[in-house]
Amino acid sequence: MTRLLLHLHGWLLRSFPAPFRLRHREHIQSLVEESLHQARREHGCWRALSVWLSITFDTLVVRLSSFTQAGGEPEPSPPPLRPPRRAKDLNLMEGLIQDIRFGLRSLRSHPVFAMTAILTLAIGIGANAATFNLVDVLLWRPGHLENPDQLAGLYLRRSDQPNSYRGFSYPNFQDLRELTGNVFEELAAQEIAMVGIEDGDMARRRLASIVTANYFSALGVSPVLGRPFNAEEERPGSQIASAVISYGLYTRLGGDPALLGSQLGINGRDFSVVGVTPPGFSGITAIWSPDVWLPLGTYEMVVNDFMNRAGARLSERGNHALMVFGRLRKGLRPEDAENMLRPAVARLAEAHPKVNEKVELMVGPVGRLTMGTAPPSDDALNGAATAFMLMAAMVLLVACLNISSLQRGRWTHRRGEFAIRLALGGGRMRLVRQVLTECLLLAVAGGAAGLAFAFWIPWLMSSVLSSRIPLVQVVIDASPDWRVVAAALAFSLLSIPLFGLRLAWRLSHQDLRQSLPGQGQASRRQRGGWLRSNLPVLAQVALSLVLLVAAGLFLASARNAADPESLLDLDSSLVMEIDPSLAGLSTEESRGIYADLERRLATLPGVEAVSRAGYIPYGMAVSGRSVAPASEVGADGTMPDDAVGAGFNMIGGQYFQVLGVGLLRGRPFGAAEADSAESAPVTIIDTALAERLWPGEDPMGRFLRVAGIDRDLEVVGVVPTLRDRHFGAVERPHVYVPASQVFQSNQHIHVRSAAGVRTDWASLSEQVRREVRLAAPQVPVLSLRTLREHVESSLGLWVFRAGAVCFSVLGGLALFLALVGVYGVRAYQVARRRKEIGIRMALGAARGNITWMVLRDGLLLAAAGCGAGLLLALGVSQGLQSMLFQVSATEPSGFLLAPMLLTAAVLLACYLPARRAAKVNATSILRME
Amino acid sequence: MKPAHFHILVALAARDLHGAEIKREVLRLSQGELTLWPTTLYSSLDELASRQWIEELDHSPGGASERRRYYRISDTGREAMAQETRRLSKLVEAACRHNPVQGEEA
Repeated sequence: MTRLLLHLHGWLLRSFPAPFRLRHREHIQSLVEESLHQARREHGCWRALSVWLSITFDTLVVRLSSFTQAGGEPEPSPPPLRPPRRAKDLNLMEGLIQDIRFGLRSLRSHPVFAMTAILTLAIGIGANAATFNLVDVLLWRPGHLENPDQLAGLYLRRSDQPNSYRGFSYPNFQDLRELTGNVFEELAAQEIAMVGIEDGDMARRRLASIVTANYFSALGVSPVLGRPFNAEEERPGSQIASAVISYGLYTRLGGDPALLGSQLGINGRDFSVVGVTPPGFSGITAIWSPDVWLPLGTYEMVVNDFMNRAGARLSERGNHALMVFGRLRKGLRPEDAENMLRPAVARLAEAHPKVNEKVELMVGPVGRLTMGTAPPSDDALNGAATAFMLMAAMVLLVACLNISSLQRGRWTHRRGEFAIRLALGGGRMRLVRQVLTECLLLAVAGGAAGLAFAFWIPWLMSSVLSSRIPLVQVVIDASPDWRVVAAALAFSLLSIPLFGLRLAWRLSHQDLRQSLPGQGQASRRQRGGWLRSNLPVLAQVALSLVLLVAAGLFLASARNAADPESLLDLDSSLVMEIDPSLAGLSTEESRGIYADLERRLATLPGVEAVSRAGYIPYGMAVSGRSVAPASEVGADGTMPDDAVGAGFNMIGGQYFQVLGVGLLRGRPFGAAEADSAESAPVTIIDTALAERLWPGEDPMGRFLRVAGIDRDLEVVGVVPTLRDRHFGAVERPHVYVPASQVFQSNQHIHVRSAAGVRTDWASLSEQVRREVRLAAPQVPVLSLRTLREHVESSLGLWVFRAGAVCFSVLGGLALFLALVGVYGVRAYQVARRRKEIGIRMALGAARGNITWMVLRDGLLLAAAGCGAGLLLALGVSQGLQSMLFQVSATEPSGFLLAPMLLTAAVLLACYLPARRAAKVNATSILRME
Repeated sequence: MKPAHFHILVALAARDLHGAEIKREVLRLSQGELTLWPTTLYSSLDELASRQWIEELDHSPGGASERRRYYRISDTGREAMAQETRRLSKLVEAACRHNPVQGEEA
């Protein structure tokens, strides 16, 4: 590195006059080298870098001050020691250095222009580089996987039902692994589960991956400490309790290598830690990571109802529990692999027709953010990323237009300078080059400032996300990436033609000789109409309006997402989540605990109703099951092909009372139905499901079948359709069954406080905790908060809020830039019209008239800009529609407020120059002329 | 006189020095306050030489390495240094009279 720094400094020295260079270069270089070595030896690399920066700065200052002392005259160069062999190259190089030197000097002499331009560009480039960095982290950065392009996911679906994906059973996976050695280097499988990891007296619920022995080698990762799993640990039923832990968990546990081989309590059992994954490794998904990886042999010990598979054994061919992915052999594409796999699938279907008939295998990408048995869909994210980048590009465009306007003001001042240079025989190309060099200097300075901004964003996101998703680890690699640097550089370079070419174009096409001092001031008058002279500012106003409208739409969306379902009463209940299986309790014991808790909590003072539920609205997990009218279900229990996919929930008797939702028809579940498995099988459905199952008919008293429950259920009640998640279709049908009919160990208990009483949530929470301690001392309370707090902290709401913040920031930046741009142009125009204003005032115009004259122009500008912007915004908002939560593309808050805000801003930007115009002293102006 | 020039003259007043030694000596004299970075150092030496306050020696004292260039303070240089010293000490005196240094009272 020292070599490179020395070289850079040496390059800088070349700009010094030849006598100085010839005399001192060698000595200076050796002194620099010595200083750098010494600093590195004694204080390390960073100190050496800071010494280098000081030396370089010093060199620059000496060089610049020699300009001011020598009056800018370059000293005569001595006769060359050697005949120059590459005279042309040398001239070009010297010319370039001279351009840069001259550009620096010229910018230094206009510090206000330079600072405004650099700041403006920094905002534009920074917004783009930050957006790029964000998108890069979310969508592109490969994480710590080796050759991620070679990884492919395997997906099974029924050939007659295109959307019915399912996982692989372990025996099927084993057969496939043997049959597909020619396609995959490695074929690996995993299942995910929630486990309770011991943490002192408590158990923390975290995500675990249950994986095959070759999982790590398939991903191309080996543990930094210890070993991966072996084949014996993978064998179903081997029950060898070993675990590989994530680097994050390793550091949380103290980061002591002695942890290897120690025992970690998971679901009430001791697992021995055999390995630690490298830092930054997040499994097959990006961004989020499980805390522990367990071998498939422990499947029966830890798998639970997180994926609705409690009780099934891994060795059963009918238990489609696994997600399968593989590393393709080099040069194979997923489409090739799919064709090559057909024979293997056919053989599987032949060997085990009962479970494998009518299935087809698809090979596709592995999900970047999601993990599941269906192919991933990152489309929504891609769409959002594209929209976001386009919006950021608009900010850059506004910034460039801004500088273009600023340049115009400066251009008027410099016409004389350029004209003299041309008259003295300076080449036109040389002048154009000079202008472009100045723009380059601005772009580089702006880009550097913007880059700092860009690196700060992912760090911020990572810290915010970690507090949002408690179940998993958030792994965001916020380290600087060369791609971000490259992107910032690209944006900087892109911005040069955007704002520099306009000036260069004029320079090479106008007859500057007219601009020589004393050559007729009249020719400086702006030709062309109002529109032409105001076009850049108009474009700025219009683009800013688009960004402001988008920001308004996203803000409305975030507001709606915070109160997502008007039928739900979010403010009257507490909700608690517990999971007795984390304490190692059996199904029967857990059932007893839930029933006991419901009874105990109902007797607390001030509590109106208590109900348990398997899933909570706007929670991390949702469950879906197929539902069909009982009459259409086959005798052996097979569901018909047109079964409806419905949201599924298991609930207690007072569930709807707790949520404040009234039944439209029928009755809630009775106490016996909710608690006793032997009671009559009943169900409650919502209007959307009723409409799908029995369109136009009365659903009451009819029977339906829910996948996974082997009895026909009678419909005893109908509720309104409730929206229970932020993403996905609005009218999603739901089926509710009594908690007694199915079991899952992880449940929520809602506690509704009595109406009309101001509840002290803290004291109620304490009472609820006490009851849990009394009923089941060993069971940890996973969360306990009001329903409102739960929705406030949900990931979906965070996503919409993050979108609102991002777009508001972009909109705000655009507004600010437009303000600066309008102000700059108005101020310049007022300055140009001083004489005219002076004459008007001398002829009797009042100050108010002058102010109005300038403001009127601004009003016209705002109206025209907003008009054009609104048309553009209408188109853009159609494109953004799918990313908004219950907001129409013509939401008034966006389309009314944004133009008003912008008009106010434009008027403010015009008012300041207008006030200055009105203060013009008519006599002094006229005397000057 | 520029502080850098004054420091260099003071450093050279004791004995003849080459560039790197001047840098070290100035750092020592100023108790670590003034680092003469290479470009400033050599451009200052050039300026001092052009005023004939210092001169470059043709040969190194004691036959040291050929590459090093030694500098010696001239008589006009000593005179300039003495003047600057007088000016500075008067200034320090005046400053002390008007604003007694607080550190001295404590």
